[in-house]
Amino acid sequence: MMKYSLCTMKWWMELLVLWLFIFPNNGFAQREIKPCQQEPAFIRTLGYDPLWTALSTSEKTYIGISLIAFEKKTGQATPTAQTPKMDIYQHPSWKTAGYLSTISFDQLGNAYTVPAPLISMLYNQTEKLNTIYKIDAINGEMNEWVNLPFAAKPSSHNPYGLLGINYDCQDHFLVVSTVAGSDRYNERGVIYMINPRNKKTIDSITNFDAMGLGFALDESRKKRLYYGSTRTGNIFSVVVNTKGKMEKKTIRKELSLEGYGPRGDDKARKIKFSGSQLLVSGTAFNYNLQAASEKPETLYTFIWLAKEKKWGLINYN
Amino acid sequence: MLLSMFQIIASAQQKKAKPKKPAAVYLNEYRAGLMSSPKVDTNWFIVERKKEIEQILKDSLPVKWCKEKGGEQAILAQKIALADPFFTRYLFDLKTKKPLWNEIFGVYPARPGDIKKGITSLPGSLMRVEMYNYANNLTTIGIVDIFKLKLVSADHYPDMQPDIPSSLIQLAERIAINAPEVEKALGFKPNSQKPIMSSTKTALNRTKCERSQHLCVAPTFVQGNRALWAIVDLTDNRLVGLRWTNTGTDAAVVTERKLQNETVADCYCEKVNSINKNGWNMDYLLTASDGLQISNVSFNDKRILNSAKLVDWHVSYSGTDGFGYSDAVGCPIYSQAAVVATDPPKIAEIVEGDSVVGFMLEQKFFSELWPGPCNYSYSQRYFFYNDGRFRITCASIGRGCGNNGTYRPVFRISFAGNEQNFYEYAQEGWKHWTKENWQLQKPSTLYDSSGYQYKISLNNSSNYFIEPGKGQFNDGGKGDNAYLYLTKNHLNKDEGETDLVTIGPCCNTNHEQGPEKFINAVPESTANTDLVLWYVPQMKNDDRPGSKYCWAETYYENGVYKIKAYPCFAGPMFVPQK
Repeated sequence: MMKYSLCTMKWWMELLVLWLFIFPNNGFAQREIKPCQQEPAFIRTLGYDPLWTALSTSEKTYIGISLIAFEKKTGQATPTAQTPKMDIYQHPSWKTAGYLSTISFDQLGNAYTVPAPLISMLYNQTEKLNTIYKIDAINGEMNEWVNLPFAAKPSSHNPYGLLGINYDCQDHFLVVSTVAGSDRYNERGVIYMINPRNKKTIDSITNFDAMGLGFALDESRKKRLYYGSTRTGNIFSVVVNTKGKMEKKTIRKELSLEGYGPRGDDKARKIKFSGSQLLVSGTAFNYNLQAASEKPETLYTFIWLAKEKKWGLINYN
Repeated sequence: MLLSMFQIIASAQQKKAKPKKPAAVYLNEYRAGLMSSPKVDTNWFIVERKKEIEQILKDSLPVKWCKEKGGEQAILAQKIALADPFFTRYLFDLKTKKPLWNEIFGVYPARPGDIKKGITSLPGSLMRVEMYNYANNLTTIGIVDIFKLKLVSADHYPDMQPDIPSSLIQLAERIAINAPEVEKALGFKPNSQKPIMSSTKTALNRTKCERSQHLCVAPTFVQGNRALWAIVDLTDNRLVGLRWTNTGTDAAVVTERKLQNETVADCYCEKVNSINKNGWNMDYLLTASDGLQISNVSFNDKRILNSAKLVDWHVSYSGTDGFGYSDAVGCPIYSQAAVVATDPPKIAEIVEGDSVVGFMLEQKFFSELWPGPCNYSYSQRYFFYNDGRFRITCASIGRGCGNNGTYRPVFRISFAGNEQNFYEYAQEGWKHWTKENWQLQKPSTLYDSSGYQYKISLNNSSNYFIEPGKGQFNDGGKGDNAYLYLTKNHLNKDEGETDLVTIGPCCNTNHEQGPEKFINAVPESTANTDLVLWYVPQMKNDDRPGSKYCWAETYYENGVYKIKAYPCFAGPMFVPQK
């Protein structure tokens, strides 16, 4: 009995040590939510292999969204950044909203995207800067999906409206962020949590300008929305319950990009998790338009430092 | 008249603005001297530093060694690293083989994290050598085995800067301490004991020169609960600017770009400034997307212009149908501008012979990575002469996306007066334009004996001749080839007076540049009324040696790369009729 008991204790202690080694922060590390996004069915209908295509909003001579078909390479499962383009397809509806920014897919293959003027305001209507567009998974047609309100009349001091969009694969909500109506002295941005089934806004965080948005599980296995400020390099998070409500009292600052990278004043454009690593795409953002050249972007990789109880930058490139 | 004749003089007065002590001061642009003579350094420590650089560039390896600490071992580690061709890969320009300015910032015992997998060594045998390349803003880190006398690994890190040695900390402090701007901001001349945290490449206090991509540090002076950051550029050896912050753990990092953006926004985008000089009176303001606007312009108390501004830049490339861009120029933050003002406007004297004949107001605009491909820079210059003439001009300073580009800037010029009339010189003399209209300046265009193409009458006693560019202004301009549009200015509606969004597409090669939208389907009468002139010159770029135009490129000088500009100025002169 005694021997059994000692053996049992040792086994439990080993497990505990292992557990704390893998999940040093209260037992769990913050980590990604398993992706759920599906490829849009229209890609196959058009005769393309979904694995060798990509939807893009940054093709130089194409306004709006375009479908890039890559040349298949033997021995490669998917295209790389160097893979040559074979064909570019654009549905007539894909350029009607002007220049677009981020795209997010749902579990049915529908794509959601938001407008963002690129070099000039010529192709983007100011009154549509707060409109979310949806590309139907089946027929590939893009239509206005939801028109969100403006906090203030758009002005020449802020050419942007919606900036961030992401899909919650755990409870199937769509989150978007807008900075419409904000100016240098007034932060009027809003983060909206939307139910894609009925297009209703479930909850919002007001008076906050955000761009990068991402969902992940925190150390207590609670789902959090991570969001990056467009005014500072700060990234915050908030617990989002299964009904899509953001529990404001749980808002906390996760980290700041300030001083990091080649520029030192990056803002989080995209936030995602890979396992327990937090990946942030940072870029300069000053509420003005950008020139023709590609905007430099840096990918920052952070890991959670359990001892210091903070995120530590392990790499950027 | 040559650009080098300009001499920077006092900054403009400010009016219509609440007096407020600025939190930031931006001193000078790193591109100073781009289109005029650069400033000559007189401080002995900078002169010495430059001499040292010149000397080292003549060596077989253009590297300043680190001799500060580490003794014989550190010297040996540097010798080993510098003997390895991979470590020295970027000491010379890869194409021209010209020496670049490099400096070893530090030699330290290697840390466990420095040692790559598979490297075996005796304890204490590995040293880490950190070298900085000023020209490429690149750090090279080599790990050497001083027992085996070989380099065991090396990596090159673009856009990265190692911790600086104490000699550079001292140089940065000297530059800051001896800057009159620092003395003025602090209210006393600091001594070497005063600056703290001067090696700001630490987690505690970082800074960046994001636009110039130079090595910058910030000696910081603490006064009570405030800290004065003095950003010093150690590539150009100069003070970039100053910024007060509150001390505390959450204090924001001050960088070159923040300093530039805040200074320009605070002092020129949100404040109307004014000039009262040589009989000329006017206000000026940096707009969100219409460049530098002048308004309420008068000469000898006679009002001449309501306003003038630069609405758009249309850039089209002839090799590709419909390929190009419409750029707006304006404020660096919270604006619709894609090419932004990073430096304050400048006022300079116009010198002809040995006389000052007027002054110029200039604003330059840059996109972030200029003069890299697909990046743009523009200049806007207003000239005001003592005899009442004035000229409104602009230039592209390249470099754009190709050598087959045509630039079409869109000026909006609104003259004062409610009974204006407009004339064109024709075979039969001055022909009255009685309706809204547009016209292209062509080789066959007729000019009067003085070279004037148009004339505007503000009222019975005040007329201005309009002389378009034909290559006669000695500013490098090859001629305007301009579209001119005349539209009626309705006082009860916005005829483009407020900040305009982009009014035309990039690539129309005809008169459809945007202003035609202000000409009614049935053109309105333009006799004895308020008028607006729109002027759209056309400049074709060129990258051929000897005829570079609307172009910019980097060149080598003293171990680093500098920028050479070939601006293409265009714009009309307005000459009062005597």
